[in-house]
Amino acid sequence: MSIDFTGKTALVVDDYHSMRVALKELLLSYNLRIIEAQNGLEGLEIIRKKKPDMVFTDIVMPVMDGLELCQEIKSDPELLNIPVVVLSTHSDAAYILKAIHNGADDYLPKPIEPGLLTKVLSRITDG
Amino acid sequence: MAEKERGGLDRMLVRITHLDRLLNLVGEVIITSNSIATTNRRIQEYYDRGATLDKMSIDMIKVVEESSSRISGDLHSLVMDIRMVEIKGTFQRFRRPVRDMAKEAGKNVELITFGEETLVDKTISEKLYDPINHQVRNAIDHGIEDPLERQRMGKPAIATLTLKAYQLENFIFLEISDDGRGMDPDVIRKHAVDRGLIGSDDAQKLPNEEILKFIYHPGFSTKTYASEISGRGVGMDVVKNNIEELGGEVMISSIVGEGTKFTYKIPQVTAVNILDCLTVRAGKNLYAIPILNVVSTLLVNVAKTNLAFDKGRTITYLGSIITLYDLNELLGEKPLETSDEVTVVIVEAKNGRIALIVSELLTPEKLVYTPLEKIFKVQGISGVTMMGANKMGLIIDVVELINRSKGIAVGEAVDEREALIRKSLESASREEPLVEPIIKKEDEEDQQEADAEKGKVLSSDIGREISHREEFLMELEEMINSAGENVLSLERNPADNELINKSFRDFHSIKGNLMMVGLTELGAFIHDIEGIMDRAREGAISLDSNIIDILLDATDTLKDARLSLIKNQAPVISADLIRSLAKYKKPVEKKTAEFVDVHQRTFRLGPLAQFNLLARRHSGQFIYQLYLSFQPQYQQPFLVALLILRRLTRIGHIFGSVPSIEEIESQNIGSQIKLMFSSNLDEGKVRAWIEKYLVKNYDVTEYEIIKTG
Repeated sequence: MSIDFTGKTALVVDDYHSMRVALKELLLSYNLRIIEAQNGLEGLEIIRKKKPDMVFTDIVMPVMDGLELCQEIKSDPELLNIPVVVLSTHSDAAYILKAIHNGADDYLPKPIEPGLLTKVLSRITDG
Repeated sequence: MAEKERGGLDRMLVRITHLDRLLNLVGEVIITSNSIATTNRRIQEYYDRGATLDKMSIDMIKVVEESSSRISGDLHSLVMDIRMVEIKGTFQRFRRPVRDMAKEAGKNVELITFGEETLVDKTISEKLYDPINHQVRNAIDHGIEDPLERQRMGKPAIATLTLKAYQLENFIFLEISDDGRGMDPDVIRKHAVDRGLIGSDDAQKLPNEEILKFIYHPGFSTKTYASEISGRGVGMDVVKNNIEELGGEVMISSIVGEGTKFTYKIPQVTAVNILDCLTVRAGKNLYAIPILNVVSTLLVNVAKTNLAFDKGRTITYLGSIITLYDLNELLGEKPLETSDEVTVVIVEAKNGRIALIVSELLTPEKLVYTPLEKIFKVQGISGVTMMGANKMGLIIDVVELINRSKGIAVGEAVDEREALIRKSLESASREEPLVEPIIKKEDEEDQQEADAEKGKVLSSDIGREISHREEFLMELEEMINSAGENVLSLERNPADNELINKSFRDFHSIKGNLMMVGLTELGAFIHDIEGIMDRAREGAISLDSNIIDILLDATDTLKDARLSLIKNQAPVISADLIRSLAKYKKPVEKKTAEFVDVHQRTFRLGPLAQFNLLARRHSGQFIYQLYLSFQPQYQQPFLVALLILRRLTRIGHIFGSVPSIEEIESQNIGSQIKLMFSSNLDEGKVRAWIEKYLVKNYDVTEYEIIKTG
């Protein structure tokens, strides 16, 4: 685990607290600062205000889902460069396709493999 | 124990806004304690100088006193608020049992709930489950008629069972009513007389609503007698005791032929160990009497009291005669000094009303009390509390005190009642055994074999070690309840699209969360359930009763799985269920399972060129042919292919004949990309770029790049 993100912020969007905690724990080991949101809309507001360095989002959520959130971020010239990673299960390839179509930069299948997380983190931050 | 089994964990979810309020209060406590320190220093200075305190210091003390009393008040009400939960959760737990019990009894019953948003203390909401369950069962078994009889009576074919909650002042009211056959007071009257519970003359004189109360009498009815009096007597004494333990009471009203209504009236405050008390002094002792039990306080001239035969002194209060006791003497302490005029507190409980002589009335207070452990138990005292100036006070248990005044010992009665409760729990918990049979290690294999014979499959995974396991399990419970609720609604409105969508989302989220913590076998099972909902969403199947049964069985499986996980055991999925589920799965058309879902959801991609690659498109001066081979370990190859293509658009423009998803699949080049692209970067830079950004991070094992123009 060679990457250190001290000083960088990640936004975690999920409607379930225990799921946010699960991801947060993994991300904390990269020294990321974590902020949380419960749905896409709340996430979008936080992204506009705090400009996090990366976004991790669930797909199916109330109020605004992760697909819409991707679209909103990627259609806003000011936010477009913030990498978005969607979380899904292997069996939901169609959702992931949609998310990538809507601009998601990468995806993490559940359960999250720490090895893959490291890889995805370096993919989205390597320039 | 039974509560634990059902409710799972001894925890509850707390709203963030409450925590914020708590944090604010903590801030105020810190500020206040700082100002106490400042005030103290100031006083010390004055003392050292031998000066008299100035007004400023006195004011400071006052301010500190005021704010600390306000903070403690706020803290108390906050704690009470935090403990409040909506009664909804309790009500919803009956949807499924009502459906099943009705089905079993061959009756048609709809459960209607009102006032689900009513807030009750968490402890109360838990303790209400058993009594409600008891009455719901009775109502369905005996109160509600079968469809034929209802038809004969000209009643609607579907019977209604109603749960309703509301709050009036400091009381929660909970009504359980049905539109069944009602209870006949004459039958109950006759039975009470037959059993010698009341003389036949007296029975005739008692009004009907009083007669109905006989069903509370322990063992009033037997099962054989039950149907004759609509069975309401079975275990009713237990219901009554349960409610009385909460400081509440049960009221009954019933109209023959139209139905029965039970109303619980429960004080809102009993659950927390904070009591509004009137504090009194009796000799050297301090006592606290719960305000709920205090009727009145008065000064009584001893000379004017009546000396009744065999009863000691009595006083007359609002026309009724009440026996007068010395509080200390009643509790086995030294009697008070006598005087001409005494201070008296009249107290009341379900078992009567007595008047207590005390030395002095102190101020009413909110007290936090500690219940007395059984071995220290004194009849008449329920707990201890700290009163002002660090003095220990005893909390009076008025019910026991009144029993004591009547010379009734508690022990026996309590044991008998506990035995009854135990018995009723045993009979009510057919599906949820109170005591799990303990399977010894050496028996485990046998057990597994037996399970296999019963058509059970033991899954092997208990998920990953996660630090927030309990919270996960708690959220899972919420999700399962919501899923179950929506499925039951679907049973009534199988074509409601919004409900179908909701239910789809329920199972989808459950699956996701199970997967996230590594419960992949259970997750895969729920994925299939989600698939059914997805097909229903597309209109490919309609939700008939077979499917509803599968969905309900799936929520049951989840409930059991959750309980297993609490005990760190692998969840059990029934093989029968998997078999019946198989019928509804969409036949797998494609050869590789990995891609199946794309087609199941009829999500088809056009040629990749048309796919939104969010291109920072360049039309470059050099044209390259690229061949890439990659081996992703945890992600699907064709999705990784997309990610790589997107990445490539950063340095060039992809064109020419780009394979579609179908092509990638049919040529089985899931982990290979062949394409042409144009870029302004020269070959060396393109190579460097591929090395730097693709090779390591996308598991590229091989690549070839040919400049063609």
